[in-house]
Amino acid sequence: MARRSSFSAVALAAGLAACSWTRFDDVSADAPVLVLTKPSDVGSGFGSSLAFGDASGDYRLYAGAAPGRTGGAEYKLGPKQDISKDAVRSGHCGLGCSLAKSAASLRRATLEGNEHTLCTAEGLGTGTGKKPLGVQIQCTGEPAFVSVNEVPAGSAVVAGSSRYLSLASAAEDFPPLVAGVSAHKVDDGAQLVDVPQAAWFYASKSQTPVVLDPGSAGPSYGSSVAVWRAGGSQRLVVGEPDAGRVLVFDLTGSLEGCFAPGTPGFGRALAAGRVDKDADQELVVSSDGQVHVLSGKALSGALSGSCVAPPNGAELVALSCSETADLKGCSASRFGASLAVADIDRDDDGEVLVGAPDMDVREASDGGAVLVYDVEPEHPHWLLEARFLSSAESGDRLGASLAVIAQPDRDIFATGAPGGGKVAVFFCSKLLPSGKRGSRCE
Amino acid sequence: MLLLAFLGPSPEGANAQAGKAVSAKKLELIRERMEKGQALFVAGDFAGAAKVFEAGYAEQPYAAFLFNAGVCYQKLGQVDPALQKFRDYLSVDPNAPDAAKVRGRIAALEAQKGIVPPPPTLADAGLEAGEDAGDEAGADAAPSPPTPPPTLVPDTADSMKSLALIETEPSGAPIKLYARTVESAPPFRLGDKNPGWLEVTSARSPANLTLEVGSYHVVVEPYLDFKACDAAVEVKRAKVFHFRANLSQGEFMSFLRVSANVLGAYVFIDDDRRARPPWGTTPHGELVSSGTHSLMVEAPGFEPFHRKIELGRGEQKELEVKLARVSYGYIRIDGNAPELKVAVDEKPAGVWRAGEVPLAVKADAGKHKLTIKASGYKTYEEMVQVPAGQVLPLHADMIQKYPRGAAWTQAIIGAVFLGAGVFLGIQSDNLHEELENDRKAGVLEEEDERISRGRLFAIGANAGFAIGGILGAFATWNFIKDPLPESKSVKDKPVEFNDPRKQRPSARRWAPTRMAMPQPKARPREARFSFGIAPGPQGLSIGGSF
Repeated sequence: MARRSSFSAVALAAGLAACSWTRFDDVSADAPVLVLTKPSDVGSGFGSSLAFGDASGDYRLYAGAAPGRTGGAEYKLGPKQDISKDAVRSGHCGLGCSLAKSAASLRRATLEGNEHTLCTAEGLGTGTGKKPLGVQIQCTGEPAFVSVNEVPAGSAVVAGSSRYLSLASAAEDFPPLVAGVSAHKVDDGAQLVDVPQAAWFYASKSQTPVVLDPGSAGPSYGSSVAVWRAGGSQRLVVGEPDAGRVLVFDLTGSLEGCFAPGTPGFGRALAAGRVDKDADQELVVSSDGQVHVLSGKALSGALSGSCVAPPNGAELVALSCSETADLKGCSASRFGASLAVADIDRDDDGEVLVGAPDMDVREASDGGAVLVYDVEPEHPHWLLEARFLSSAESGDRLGASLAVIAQPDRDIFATGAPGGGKVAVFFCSKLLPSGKRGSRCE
Repeated sequence: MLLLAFLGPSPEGANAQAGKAVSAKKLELIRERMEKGQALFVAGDFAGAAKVFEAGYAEQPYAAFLFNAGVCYQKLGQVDPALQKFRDYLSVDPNAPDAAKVRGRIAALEAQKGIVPPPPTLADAGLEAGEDAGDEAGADAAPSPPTPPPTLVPDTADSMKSLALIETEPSGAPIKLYARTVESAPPFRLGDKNPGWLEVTSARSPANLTLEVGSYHVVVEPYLDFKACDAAVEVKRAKVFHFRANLSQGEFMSFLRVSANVLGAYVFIDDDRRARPPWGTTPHGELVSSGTHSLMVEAPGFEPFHRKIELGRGEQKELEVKLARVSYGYIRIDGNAPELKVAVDEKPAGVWRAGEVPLAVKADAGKHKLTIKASGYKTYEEMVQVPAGQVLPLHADMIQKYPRGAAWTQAIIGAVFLGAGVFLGIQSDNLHEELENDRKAGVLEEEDERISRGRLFAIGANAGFAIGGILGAFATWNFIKDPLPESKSVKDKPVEFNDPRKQRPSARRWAPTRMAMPQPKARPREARFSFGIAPGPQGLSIGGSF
């Protein structure tokens, strides 16, 4: 009988331990991370480039495939839209176009004499009208439109240069569009042709390129570009990482200054945004293994026309890769491969988002991650959050690209994992006050 | 009125047996018949009593049986057989002292039937005159005119006559029998005039006398070189008395009869150590010398009975002994299993194996918890009543345990499913916890494969619980289910202890030791048929057995 009683007890315990599978529906519903669906007409390396723009309540995230390939897609991610992981439009940078390594969004743009909204500079193409090769811009607002901004004459940039093309703009109406291309070789079908480094920009409402002439520059000039507003003026920044410097131009294309802190790889990636609470955007610059947050106010006051080290106190902080229980492998993480500044905790200053696409996530090597730093005077090194995919797979390389998605109450961000062909939108921050995090974050 | 009859020297021929010394066994047979007939008569079973008396006469031809049988028939209103018995009585013992009264009874019966008696012949008259001389003083020897037949007096239990057997050593001694005629007469003294006493008969030993109820005194007259001796006799109805006078010692021997509540109990006289063969077995009566004797009565299974007894000369003493059972008994155990382990009151009491004699377990009389275990069989437990001084034969009918193979199979498979359910449940819980943590950390994506995995684990866990639970329920049921009856016992009526004095044990007796006994046959298994539907490892199974 004892035997029978024990058996009954086990059965009862087992019954009590019975679990519901619907709880997995509950935990997965409105998950804090939304992985977007890659359309079938988008090539490999999906997520290599990202750009976000919004206009008139229409929030669009553009995601492109691998540089040099074709195909991109747009997703609606606005707070009052039906956020869907499925693309609302795809086929960007199609025939006659090849994608750049980064994209830039133009909230409003004047193209070929007309204003357009929700435009994205995607790569190098000729557009639909067999125009000369240029930076192809596709506007998906009404009316849909594709245009091409010609590259500077004599730049030698060809279609095959798109994989070296960096594009940047600002989150404003009619922003300038800056482009850079490092020196490279292009197979024109008969031989490898040397294409020299170059950088140029298109002023607001203009499709005419203005060359950003640094005077003398190495082949890595143009590897990274950014639009930076500081000291009351908007400026254009071009990185030359091999020289460990960044060059600053005004909107006339004149060189205003250059910063070379003597850090190897300084200028690999660039981002601009308000990290502190003053009106100037800080310049965020990657070097080999670090990310430097430089005070916009200090830098703008130190522009001297020549290349100098950032003034003392200009560097707010030099961020280093931080490992966590889930993230390892900082030394080979390509920390700083992508950069962004976003106010994800809505405290009126920005957090620095740093992509580390080769970080190991749990069991997945090179799963990739985005590290979010809150640069505050009290804790300038504070790693706020580490963002990665809960189902990271080896080689995903999340963090290769970043885009800040402005929401009315906070910023969220999207990051690409081109190794896995994924684009993930991270909605949540634990620093947001409870009750204001949204259904995905509570 | 003197109610006395006697038989003189035993007749030859039909009653020749009466002239020989009577053995104790024969005496006991006579006594048994006489007392049994008397008991039936008192109980009103006159037909039964008549049959017993007639059978007694057929075995032991003493005339008292015939008279008593005639009285029974008369009570039944069966005149013809009554007449026949009374006529036979006179024929067997024509000199009976009560012959005249019997003839009167015959005449009355014949008158009742309307038969006119023939006129008495001289011979008859003389015979009657002679008889009446002893019965009615002052009667003339001349033939008397016919008298009306006597009136029939209703018979009672006291009408039954007793039998007195009188012997001497040596035989042939003259015997006189005196009867107390006056109730207040003093005791008879040899050589005195003894007023109130009347000589009612004389004879030579050995003699058997048919006597009515009353007080008598028997006197053996001087014979050869021996002196006279005497003894008092109190005759009760339908009894048998045995007198034996040892003339060389000049006194009558006493007669002792010992009966007991146990038939065949051994009686020892003056032999407490039982060095000699028993004096007899109950009931047993025999002549013994007068004086003080040590009596011991014993029987297997009973406590021995000891008593000192005092016997007067010629005293006829009957002793009813009540033997008490010993305070313990035995259980004799065998069974149908190869080996039985027996415990009484939870204490091991022995092991019985097939092929051995039954196991004897001694226990105090009363109720005891008997436990019998056998490997592969259901345990037998019962409160049994151990009889005092007897043996309780008990055959354990052990029933094999119901096979639990299916239950174990279901339990094991069920446990495996439950275990798998628990494992999957834990995995599911872990995954859910991980996902919850990831969700809290803001890194959980909707398409995380762990969600599907956890969901599958949860479903698998629940399926495991369900299947395990169902199998567990079946297993529990199959553990509980037992269509077979419990082990039981077949108990015979308690039997007596074996009597070691008997060469061959009777079927109803048993020795409290191991002894060769016929090997108990294995009880044929009762044909059983069962049919059921039960879940098996591969689903429900239908099976049957018989």
